[in-house]
Amino acid sequence: MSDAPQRWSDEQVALVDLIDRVIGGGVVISGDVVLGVAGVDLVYLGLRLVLAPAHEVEQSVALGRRSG
Amino acid sequence: MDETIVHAYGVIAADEPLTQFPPGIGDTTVWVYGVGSFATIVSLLPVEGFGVTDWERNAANVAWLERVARQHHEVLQYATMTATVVPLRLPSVYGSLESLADTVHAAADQLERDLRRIGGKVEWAVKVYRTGVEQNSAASNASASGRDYLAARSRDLSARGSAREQLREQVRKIHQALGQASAEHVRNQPQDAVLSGRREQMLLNGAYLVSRADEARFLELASGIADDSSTKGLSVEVSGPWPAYNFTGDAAVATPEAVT
Repeated sequence: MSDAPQRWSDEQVALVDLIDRVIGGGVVISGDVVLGVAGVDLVYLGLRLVLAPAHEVEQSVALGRRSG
Repeated sequence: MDETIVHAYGVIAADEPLTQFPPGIGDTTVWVYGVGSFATIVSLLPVEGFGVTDWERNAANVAWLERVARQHHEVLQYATMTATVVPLRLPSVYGSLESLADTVHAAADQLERDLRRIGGKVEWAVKVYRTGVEQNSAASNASASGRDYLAARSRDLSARGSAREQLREQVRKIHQALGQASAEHVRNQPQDAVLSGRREQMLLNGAYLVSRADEARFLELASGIADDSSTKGLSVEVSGPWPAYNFTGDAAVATPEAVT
C-alpha cells in the first residue's frame, strides 16, 4: 500500500526518527558544548538499553549511530 | 531569578525575519540572539533540571530525552517552514550567551557554507522496508530422498540469493531516481530495529535535499515509486519536510554511500 507523505502537521514524528536526526545527525558546533561526543554516545546507549525490553533484541543489529 | 543555561536550537542568517516560535524546552520562551552575521535560536533553561548533571542522569531516561528532543525539534520544524535553518543536534547547551557567541564565531566558516548549501531547500526522508514473504521452500517438503533434498536445497539457496540481489538492485534504483530529483542525497545506515520496533527489514534510509521549487515534483515521484513498489514486496514511507539535519556540518560528508 502507498501512504501519503507524512507531513508534520498531521502526525507526530516517530521517536526513532527524532533520535536518528536530532541526536544522531545535525551539527555539533564544537567549542564550549558542555556534553561532547561521549555524552551523545551515552544517550544513545542508554536509549537502546531502555527500549530493548520493549522489542525483541537482535544482537546482530548494529547501533544505528553514524560516525560524524 | 534562578541560574540558567542557554539552549541553542539552530542557526539562521541575521537577516531572516523570524520572530515567533512555539514554546521551547521546558515551555521556555524561544527568541533570536544575534551573533555577527548569524542569529541563533535560543531559550534560557533552568540549570536545575537541564544542566550537565541532568543530561548525565537522564541519559537512559527515554521520557525525559523524548520530551527534550521533541521540543527541540518542534522549534526547528517551525522555523524551517519559512527560514533557512542550520539545525543543531543534542545536547546543545552553553554556559552563557557569551560562550555560545564564541562558539558561533569559531564555526563561522562552516555555518556560512551550510547556509549557502541548504538555502531555499528542505530535507525529505524516504524509507524502504521489505514486506514480501519468503516463498515456500521446496527443501522443506518432507519425503524426498537425501539427494533430492540437497538438490532442492541448493536451488532454493540460489533462488533466494538472486531474489535478494534483485531487491538490492531495486532499492538502489529507487535511491538513484530520488537522488536525481534532488539537489543532494545521502543513504544512511538502516535504523536500529530495537529503537524503531519494526520487524520488517529496512532496506533504505535515504535523505534528500530538495529545493522548495522542486518539492511537488519530488513528492509525485516518491508517491509513484511507493505505488509501484507495493506490488514488489516493498513498502515505501516518505516523511518531511525535515530541518536539513543530513546536509549540514560534515554529516553528509562523513556518511559514505552505504554499500548494501
